[in-house]
Amino acid sequence: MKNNKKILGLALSAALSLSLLAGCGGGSATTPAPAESKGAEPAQSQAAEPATPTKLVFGTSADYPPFEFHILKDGQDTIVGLDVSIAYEIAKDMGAELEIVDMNFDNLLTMVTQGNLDFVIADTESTPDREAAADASKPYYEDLAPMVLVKKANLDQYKSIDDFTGKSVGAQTGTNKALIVTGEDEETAPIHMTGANPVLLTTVGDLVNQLVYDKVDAVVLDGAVAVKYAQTNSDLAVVEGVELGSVGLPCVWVAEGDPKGLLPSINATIDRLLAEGAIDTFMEEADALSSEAIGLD
Amino acid sequence: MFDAIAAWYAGLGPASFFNFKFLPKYAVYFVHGIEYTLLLSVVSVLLAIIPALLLALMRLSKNRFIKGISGAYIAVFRSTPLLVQLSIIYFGPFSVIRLPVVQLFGFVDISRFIPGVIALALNSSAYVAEIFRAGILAVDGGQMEAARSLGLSKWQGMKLVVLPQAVKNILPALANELVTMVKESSIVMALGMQDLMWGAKTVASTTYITLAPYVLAAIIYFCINFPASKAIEAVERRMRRGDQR
Repeated sequence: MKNNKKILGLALSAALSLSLLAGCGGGSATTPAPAESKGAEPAQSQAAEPATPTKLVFGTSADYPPFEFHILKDGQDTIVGLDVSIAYEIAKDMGAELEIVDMNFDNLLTMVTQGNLDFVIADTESTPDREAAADASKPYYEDLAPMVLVKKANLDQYKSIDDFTGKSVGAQTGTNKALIVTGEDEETAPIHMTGANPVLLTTVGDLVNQLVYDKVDAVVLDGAVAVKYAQTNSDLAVVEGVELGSVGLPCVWVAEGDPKGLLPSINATIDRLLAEGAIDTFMEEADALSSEAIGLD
Repeated sequence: MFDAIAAWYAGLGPASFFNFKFLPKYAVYFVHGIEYTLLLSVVSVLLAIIPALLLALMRLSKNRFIKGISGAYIAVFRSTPLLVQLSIIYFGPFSVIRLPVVQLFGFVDISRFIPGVIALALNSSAYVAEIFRAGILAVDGGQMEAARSLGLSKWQGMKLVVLPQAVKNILPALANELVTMVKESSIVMALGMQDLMWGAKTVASTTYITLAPYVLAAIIYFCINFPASKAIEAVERRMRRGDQR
């Protein structure tokens, strides 16, 4: 789903390392030491045996039901969703405690690259750009293909992807849906719009507001998310008959080169969950929790 | 009449401005958000005061080197976006300094609150320094001359004569800086700090009610800032009383 904010991430980290080098000489002297020891130690254990950390820091962007979102569980703010359930299973299989870090999607891959997060699950699909910045596990879920959400009143105007030429079409910044709208990466999004005016925003809710208040003509969203918005808002509908194709499958992401040696265990967990059919169960649970949250009962 | 209003309210769609059906269930996000925002703003501005005073005095110094350092600091922090400053501090120094995840009051995560406070305080100190400088310069130059001719040293003159008079100019502007900070601090949401805007965003994404949570946040910001600015005006009037002859 959410694509290459990586470039910004890299630019930012470059700016940071510069500022660190230039700014605080003392700080930069101590910087490489922990990083080196961190890299060296698990590299050895990776060769010999899988890593066995006692605590795993898991990063996500909890504004994306049913994959990850906040609910009130017995009055207590709790992060739930398909990706969160998988994260708990990964931690359980490694015998580690799980710590959840919730932040903007844009920053997640930067954080995992810096080693502040052990792994990221945020419905982040595999793309060549992302593979260059971080390492991906096996895909854990076969998502619905992206869909186009429009106002129900205008539904009959849209029969094929060519009907979006000259229209303003929204998508989430840094996602593969943005590539479908802009058509700037044909390798990742072979089916894309041509001549649409892209409107890229960071949160899905803001995109839906733009659609409801006629600021954009259509919004490209993950299939599951688009369907949910069409269900909750009777003014909106999903365009039928416009196939956008799959744009990569969601994976678990770790730092490039897997310095902590987590991937073998993560892949084993994904294999186990897929074999048990647990992923589908998690998705149903997450859907039920999301529906309950929307129902506000 | 009431039936008509009730029917109108019940019929509001999820993207309506006034669909507050997420209340009272999700009120806790807003309550915690208000507390977080106020704590963040007050602590940031308080932390900014001492560095700002130093910066202002450095700025007024005759030594060109000291003056330049202070000037450069103020220029950098006033001429770059707060979001960028926040990101650099959070992903730079605080990616090396690993703070433990400790929940203060059950919802203020120290490992994010502290980088947020430090970034806002560094930014604020640049603005507060200018407030101080203007406040000190507004005190008539004759005051310092009088102090010096009475045999006070430069520092004594500053501490005992000029600064006490400058406080009268400074306090209202400082309070205004706090009001500004309450609004500006909403930018910390980008890094997952759970302030009022973060609460609104979270409720919007969880409930699919995509606009009204922000409207509520706006109402809350207004209810904090409007009375605060009125109170500042009242204090300002009270302080001006001595000026009239």
